[in-house]
Amino acid sequence: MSGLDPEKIGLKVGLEIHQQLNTQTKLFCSCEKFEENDFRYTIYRRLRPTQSELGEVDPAARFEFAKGLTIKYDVGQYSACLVEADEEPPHSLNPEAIRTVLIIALALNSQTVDELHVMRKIVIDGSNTTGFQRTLIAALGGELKVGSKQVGVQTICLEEDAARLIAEAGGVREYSMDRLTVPLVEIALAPVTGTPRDVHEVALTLGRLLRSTRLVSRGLGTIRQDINVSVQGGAVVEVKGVQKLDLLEKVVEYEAQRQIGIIHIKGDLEKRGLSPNDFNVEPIDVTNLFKETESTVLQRALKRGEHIRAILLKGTAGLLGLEPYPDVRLGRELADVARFFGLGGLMHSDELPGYGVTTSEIDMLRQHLQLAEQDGFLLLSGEDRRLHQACEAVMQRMRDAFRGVLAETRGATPDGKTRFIRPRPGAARMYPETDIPPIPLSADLIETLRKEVPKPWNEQIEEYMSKYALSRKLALQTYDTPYLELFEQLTAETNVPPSFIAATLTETLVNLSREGLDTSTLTSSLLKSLFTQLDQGQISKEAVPEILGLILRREAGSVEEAAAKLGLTAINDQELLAVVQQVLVENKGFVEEKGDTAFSLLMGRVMAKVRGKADGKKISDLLRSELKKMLQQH
Amino acid sequence: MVAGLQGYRGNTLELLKKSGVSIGDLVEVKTTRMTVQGSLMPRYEHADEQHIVLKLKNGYNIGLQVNDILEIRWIAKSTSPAFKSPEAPKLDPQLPKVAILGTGGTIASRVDYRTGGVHPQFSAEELYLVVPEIAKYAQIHTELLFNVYSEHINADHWEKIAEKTAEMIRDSYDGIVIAHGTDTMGYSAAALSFALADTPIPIVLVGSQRSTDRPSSDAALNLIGAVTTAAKAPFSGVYVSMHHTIDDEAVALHIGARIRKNHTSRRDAFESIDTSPAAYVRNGELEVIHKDLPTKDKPQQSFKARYRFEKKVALVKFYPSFDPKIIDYLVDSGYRGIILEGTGLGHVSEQCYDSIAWATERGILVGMTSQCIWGRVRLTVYDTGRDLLRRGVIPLDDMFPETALVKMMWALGNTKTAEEAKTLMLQNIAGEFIARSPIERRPRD
Repeated sequence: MSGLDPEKIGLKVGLEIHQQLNTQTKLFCSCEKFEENDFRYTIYRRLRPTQSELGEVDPAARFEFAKGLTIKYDVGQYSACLVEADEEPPHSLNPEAIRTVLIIALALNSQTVDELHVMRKIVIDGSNTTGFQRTLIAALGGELKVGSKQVGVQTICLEEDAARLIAEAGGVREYSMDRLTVPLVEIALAPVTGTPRDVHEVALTLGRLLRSTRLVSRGLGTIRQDINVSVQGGAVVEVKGVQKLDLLEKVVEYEAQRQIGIIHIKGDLEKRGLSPNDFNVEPIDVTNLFKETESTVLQRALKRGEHIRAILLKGTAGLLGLEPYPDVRLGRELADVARFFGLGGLMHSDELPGYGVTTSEIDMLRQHLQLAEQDGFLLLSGEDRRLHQACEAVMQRMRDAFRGVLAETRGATPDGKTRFIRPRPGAARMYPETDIPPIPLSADLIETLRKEVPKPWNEQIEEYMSKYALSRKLALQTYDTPYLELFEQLTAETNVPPSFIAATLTETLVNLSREGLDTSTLTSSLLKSLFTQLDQGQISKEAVPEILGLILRREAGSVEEAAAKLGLTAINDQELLAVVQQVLVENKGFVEEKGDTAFSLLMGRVMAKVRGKADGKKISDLLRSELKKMLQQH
Repeated sequence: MVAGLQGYRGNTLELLKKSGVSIGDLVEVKTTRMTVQGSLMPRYEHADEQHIVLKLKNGYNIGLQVNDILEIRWIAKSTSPAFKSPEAPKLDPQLPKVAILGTGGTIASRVDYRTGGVHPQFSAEELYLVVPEIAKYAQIHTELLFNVYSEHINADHWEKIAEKTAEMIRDSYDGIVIAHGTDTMGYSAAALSFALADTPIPIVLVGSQRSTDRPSSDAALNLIGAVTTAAKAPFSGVYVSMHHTIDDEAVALHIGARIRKNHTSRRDAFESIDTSPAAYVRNGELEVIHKDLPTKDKPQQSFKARYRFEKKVALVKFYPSFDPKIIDYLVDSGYRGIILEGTGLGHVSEQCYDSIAWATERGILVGMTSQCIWGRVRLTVYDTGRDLLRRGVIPLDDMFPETALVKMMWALGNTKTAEEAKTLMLQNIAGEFIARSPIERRPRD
């Protein structure tokens, strides 16, 4: 890994897996679990930090409140009720979810607790309407076998999932309520040493163990990995939201480099004889200095009526832009904090002149601030109140640079780097959920569930290989797809060779997604109709990739339509005319009543009969002219 | 505050005592299956005797079966659960003087280690400190009158609140906020509306449907609405300050004698019946809706409350198969007034006629309201109504049952004869009667 030896730097990585459970309903109510995009209601809220049971306020919560955000929730009709809206106390904890999480615990050889206590984990970023996530520890300890190694299990929790983030702009953060309170199992593994590749293997194995229970959801977004990364001399940094396993290695590698880089920068600061007290300075308003600036960033800010402030960073020239590893810079760390407070970012002296800021402007600024040659500075612009908060936070981050790596929560970026999200929350964020009494678990229940622990996943793979005559590779690939159950169903219901079904559900779809198509949009009913038609000889095996491609490119809405487009089945103009005329006759009364406006309903009726067998434009033209004729006759 | 071994009983208590540990201590527990370290937490009284509760280092609580415990080892003292008051904001002498009186309820609740549910725990001052923004609107003085859930509040409490409030009116406060549990806040609002009729300043009751120990509590917004009104409303009277909708956006100020809790849990559970809220508070700004609200120009020093309440008044709901002996029982037990919650326009079965006549002949006030809540009673439409009028039943127009009950308690408490009380019942004292019935079911403005 780019010159860093994991062993030498003492790299430790702890995995935390969040996996949605495949229960009928949500964790605390009877709502359905699905992504609902037909929003019927909106609710606006604000959240405030509160004290924990031990009378402390969590720093992460305080931090979030300082941002002063309004939260907007979009609510559908079926996926959320008053419970999600925080307008009704939670109903009883979903027993199906408890059973599932206990079975998973037993499969990991973990010790179940004797009584479940639902806790509130304070999270006031709006991802929970209540301002807390409900969570409980179901089991402690245990181990996961990864090849010949054993990875320790720390805790197994049952949690509610958060609301789905949709957008954030102009001080409003928008969430959909549909995913809120979907049951999740959270499994925290003990930190492992080794290469980022090993971490990938651990995650993959745990994912398979979970899927082996058949009690968890499959597909993108149903499993999320958080990782705790630390290096020697640093602190544990939690990186959230690694959705794709492929990214895991890159994220670990970057985060390790970042931490080593930050420790290096800390050393440099100290070598220069600087201390945190050097960075207790008042930001200086320099809006007037930049009135005539040619920097588009600053111009835009000024046009919005924003202010520009400079922060003097004594003795830091050359340190802000120092890049011990790619994209690891103190300047970037500071900019992340500014961004967190809703600013576009910041400029620092090591990257100027630049962004349209000229040398003469810098000279003027340096003079104004009375800077010595070895001094650095930051430039920030934004709306007054936010700017004030951001400056405070940025300076705090600068003082914190003397502490080296900070125990914070970071988010994974799509390119495998990490960005600051918030300070790492501590135990102070936990408060008992007073709405739900403790739930005792009897020894009998645990013994009953022990019988439901599935066969190890690798044995299941062996069975697959022999039952369906699949290669190991294909069996594994099928096991890891969201379509495992569909595969089993299709092999039972059709005579299509299992290996062809398996290859289509894995390799073909992977190839299509490499072309940039989103294969997660394929529904199981569509795939089912594909193989049924293949089974009935309506389409050929060879046409399958093309049909799927057409559907994924939204050029066809169904297998029939795709097949028709590909010239596989189609009706001629004569036949189409007959269908149109038949529909018109059938709906004569309606046509007489509605006249021209009957068109859209008639179109629907015609489409229902000929979908996929004729071009939509041709149908609508023909229908329009035939409708006109009919109306003229009256 | 939690000390000793609160909530533990039986075997478990014995084991803990023997092990020499108390709540808050960091301990190591060895069971037949695992060894765990954590802080010993209190046990809820309603929970079983079979488990001890540990708070692990990560903040989670777990329960361990006492029969499986092999050993409990004391490690160290650690923090006991306790609420810490934040620092008090500074008072600005330029701002209006507002008192916040605490009475308890959800608005002041935190976890209760006795039951595991929430329990009123904040003093009025702590409540204020949780929402320090209110210092921007007023100089706040806080006082805790009592600390109970509103279902435990009775007429004695009303008298206490009214007496204290009257004293503070005379003490030239600009406005008074009363933090109250929501379950019976509608009754208390009506009680204060009558007891403090003609108050020269705004009196605002405020509650919350989500306790202040939750980040999503509605208490902050409701309290800001109440304090804003108390500090700068151009009107006087008794109001209730609660969420207008389920958004954290606007607070509605409802007329105290026209307010009812109409949902068990929603933030906007309180609704004005057959009228709109008197005013709204949005972003700290007051928007007055009602044009005819009482003004603030009356003298404060000479203000007098009429705060006595007669407890021997019953609210009786009529239903099919209702047994008239219930009315007889009340008469025989010395009740002085009965509010009937009749059906529709104000009816009860003819089987009740004799009992009602028996009551009114004995000088007991019998008032008729409707269980429909919305709309007014009209006893002249059907025969039954006329039969009831003839038997001395007082039709109470559009006063809904709870307000009518409270008003009768007040009317009987502050007069010498039933006749005087009856006269008061029919007078519009605090906006409890509304002459016009609005077209809209729930007028918003």
